[in-house]
Amino acid sequence: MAFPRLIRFVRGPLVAACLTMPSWLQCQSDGNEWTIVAGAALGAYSGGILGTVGGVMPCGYALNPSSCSLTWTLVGAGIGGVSGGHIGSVSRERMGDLATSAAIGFGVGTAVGVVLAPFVHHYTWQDALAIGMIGGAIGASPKGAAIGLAAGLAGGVLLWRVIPTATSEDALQTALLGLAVGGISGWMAEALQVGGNGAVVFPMSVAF
Amino acid sequence: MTTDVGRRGCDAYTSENVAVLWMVPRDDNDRRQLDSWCRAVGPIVFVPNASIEVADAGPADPVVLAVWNVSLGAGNLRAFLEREIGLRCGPQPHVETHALLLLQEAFRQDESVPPDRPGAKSQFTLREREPIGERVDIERVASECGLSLLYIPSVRNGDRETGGKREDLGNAILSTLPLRDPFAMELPREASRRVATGVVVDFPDGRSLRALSLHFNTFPGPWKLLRTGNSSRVRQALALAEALTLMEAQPGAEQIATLAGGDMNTWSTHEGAFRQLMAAFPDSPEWHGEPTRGSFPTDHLFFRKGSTPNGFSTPVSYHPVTVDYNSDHRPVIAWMLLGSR
Repeated sequence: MAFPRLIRFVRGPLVAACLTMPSWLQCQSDGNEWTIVAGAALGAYSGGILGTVGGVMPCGYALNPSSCSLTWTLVGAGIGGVSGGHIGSVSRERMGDLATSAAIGFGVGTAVGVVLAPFVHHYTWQDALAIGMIGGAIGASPKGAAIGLAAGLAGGVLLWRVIPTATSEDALQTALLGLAVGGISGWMAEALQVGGNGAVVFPMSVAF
Repeated sequence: MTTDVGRRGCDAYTSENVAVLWMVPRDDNDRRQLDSWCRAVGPIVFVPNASIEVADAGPADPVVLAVWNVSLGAGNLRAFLEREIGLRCGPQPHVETHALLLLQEAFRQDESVPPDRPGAKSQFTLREREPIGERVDIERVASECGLSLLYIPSVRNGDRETGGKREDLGNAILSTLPLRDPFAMELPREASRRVATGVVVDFPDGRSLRALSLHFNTFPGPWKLLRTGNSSRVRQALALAEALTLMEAQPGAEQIATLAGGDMNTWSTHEGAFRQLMAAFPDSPEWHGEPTRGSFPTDHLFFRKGSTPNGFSTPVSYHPVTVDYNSDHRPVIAWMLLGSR
């Protein structure tokens, strides 16, 4: 079985991380390793995709945009993965809600992709799938993504109108950044909320 | 290495009687997709010699250079030639100075564009702007103005037929000077197919210059975007630089100066793609500081002297024209001075 092997693989580093944590952090688990892995995977997927989308415009300015984009993806996936793993360790129910929301987002995104495909001449079925994946990532963190997108769009349009050298590209860039930062922050906020008492609860118990 | 030189691919459909050196992306998946676009276009058009009368131009006089996205015939090319270059088309075409034009979104409309082939892919019909008056295709402009022409179509423009005529679009090079040794660099697939179109231009005093007309993609498809981030134009810029280097490394290849220009679809001159091209073409003129499509600086001219510059130096008086001649891009113009060799 791949999952138990994966859990054994990540247990060591997590235990080490727990041992080095300051006292105001806790390491605990409700004992369901499957929800921890599922939460971490969902968070990593959502955060990674959101990070990639957030890096689209800034990385256009890089001489090596692929490395830049990979950095954004990994940072997003890291934050999302840790947050998701934590949520999975604390609340199976909340994890289920997020997974359902991600599935709805994926479905809506894929439907949009399928509808768009005949009208965008260079789209393939892979592009429809990619739109579904982006929809799923947003669906897994809908509140944060929506707030971030709205704030980013408003800020971007303001920049565009106020600063003479700013362009519509800057507005779009700020909106996408907002979406990404909002969505990833949504994962962190969710992780903080399910922990209760203001404590950050990490997903593995220290057991010898 | 991402590019193959001389590999047969699309040329089976587009070259016919024109000997063209092809450089194509190595990625097999990209190749399949690009070939499906390629099957839908007509043959390359190559008219090596101009018939226009060039009065008063001495063998080493400056040559006017222009880069322009003509927006599928919406841009009034004949009016541009007449007003900006002083080139009169018609029964006895006439101009007082030599000219070299690097054009994007040129179109050809005739019977040579094939009816549907198996596995061929067309884009939807593009009409970016309504033309003022008659849309004139690139072959007719070349013919009526007595210019030499290289036209390499990239994609079929829609499935529709008008009176048995079908339409494709791509990059073109028009000149009063003779052209030879055409080459095509298929850029990595990011969205629709793009082919950098190149040729060697012979000047009256015997020296030669390599010229390239470029058109980069605006934005990748979502799948490419997730896989590579926003690196479309940088990937295309790097592939172009690599293809040029590979071509120059071919046995017997001429080591001459290279002029490249086109619609790079750049949103800023801080973009990675623009900076990569400036590095690959270190003798390029400095950006003139003005946008050429809306508020975006999309259209540029690049230059490198190469190992045998032959007296060619950085183009001068580089500037956008104030009017767009009904295209969605403003043309940019510069002058090539011919110094002593």
